[in-house]
Amino acid sequence: MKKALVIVLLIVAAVPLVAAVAGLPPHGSPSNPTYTHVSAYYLEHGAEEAGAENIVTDMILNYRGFDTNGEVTVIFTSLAAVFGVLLLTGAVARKPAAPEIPVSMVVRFIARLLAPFIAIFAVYVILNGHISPGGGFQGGTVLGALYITVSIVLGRDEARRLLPRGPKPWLQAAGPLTFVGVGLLGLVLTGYYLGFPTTPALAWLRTAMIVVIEIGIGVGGAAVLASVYETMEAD
Amino acid sequence: MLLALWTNVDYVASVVLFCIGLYCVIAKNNLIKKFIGLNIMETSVFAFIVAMGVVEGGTHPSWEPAPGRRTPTPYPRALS
Amino acid sequence: MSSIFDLTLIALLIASALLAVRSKDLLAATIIFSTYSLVMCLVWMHRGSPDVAMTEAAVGAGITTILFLVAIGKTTRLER
Repeated sequence: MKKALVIVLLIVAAVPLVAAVAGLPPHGSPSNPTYTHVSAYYLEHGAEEAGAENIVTDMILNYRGFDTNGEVTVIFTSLAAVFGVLLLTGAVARKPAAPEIPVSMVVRFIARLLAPFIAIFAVYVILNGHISPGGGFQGGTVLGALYITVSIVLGRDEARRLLPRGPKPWLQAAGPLTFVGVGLLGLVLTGYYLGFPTTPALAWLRTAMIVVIEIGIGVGGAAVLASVYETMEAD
Repeated sequence: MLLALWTNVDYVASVVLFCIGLYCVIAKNNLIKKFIGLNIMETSVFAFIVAMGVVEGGTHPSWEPAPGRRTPTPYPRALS
Repeated sequence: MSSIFDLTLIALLIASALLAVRSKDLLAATIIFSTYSLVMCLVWMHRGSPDVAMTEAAVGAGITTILFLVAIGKTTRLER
């Protein structure tokens, strides 16, 4: 009975979707509406107007900066939700920490060998986000994954030294804080929140603002992912 | 109709993946399974968005010179 | 029109999504889902959006899988 209901529901969902897809303009043709209206403007003016050579970075941080500001806040809020669920219910405090499982020597050696290279790659991705593909989110997740690897392979205490207690809350909040800081700088300079100065003489400042936001998002994202893992794992 | 579907086979793949994810979310009881289904739905939507930006013979918008650069508009949607 | 490479990737995607949904073993489902994310990352790379592909490779194939594994370790491995 339930199976039949599910199948009927799926068909009801799928038929309009397939019909709509069949009516879309052909895939890949340059005369598609997605290519002719606003994208043409971005491709034409994005690089000199917005401050970053990578147009995707221009769009997420400059043209849609407000949207990204909200998203960075959402990432921070997800951490707050994990803390709320796991810490406030007392699940962490009551139980002793789970025993650590010893890791094979090969894995340990490879992780030690690769960790510096992964860290350099992550920093490169964050700092080079305004020129080549990449940016704060991507580099931040790589950094967070590196922290998780260290925590699994070299032990919890070794990893905890990378994220000391004192600056930890500031690192976790780095994304929203830098975003709001740069936004307020824009408010002072141009009169609009997150406004980027448009005069050609201040082109370096536009690029600098974008790089600062990327660094903030990268550090904040890495700290958030690391502490989500830490909290879940310690439970 | 069938020819149009064949031309837009990337879009059709997204629809199929979306339906698989939807089935998983509706029919499974386990929360981890539901979350996997939700993730499949999400990535299928992103794949649809990215497929809309594709231009025949184009490359990533920041790589010049290229015969035709792909649309940058949809990617940031998928990033956020 | 899509190349053979595209069609192969799409077939892989649909197959891995179906397997991840159907598998009774949650550990197997998680690993298959990470394969799905990796193939999806290849698809996006091929469609010329390396930004989204990098995010998917780091988040989908890396961190989501690890969080799922932690969650499975804390609960049960088999779906009931």
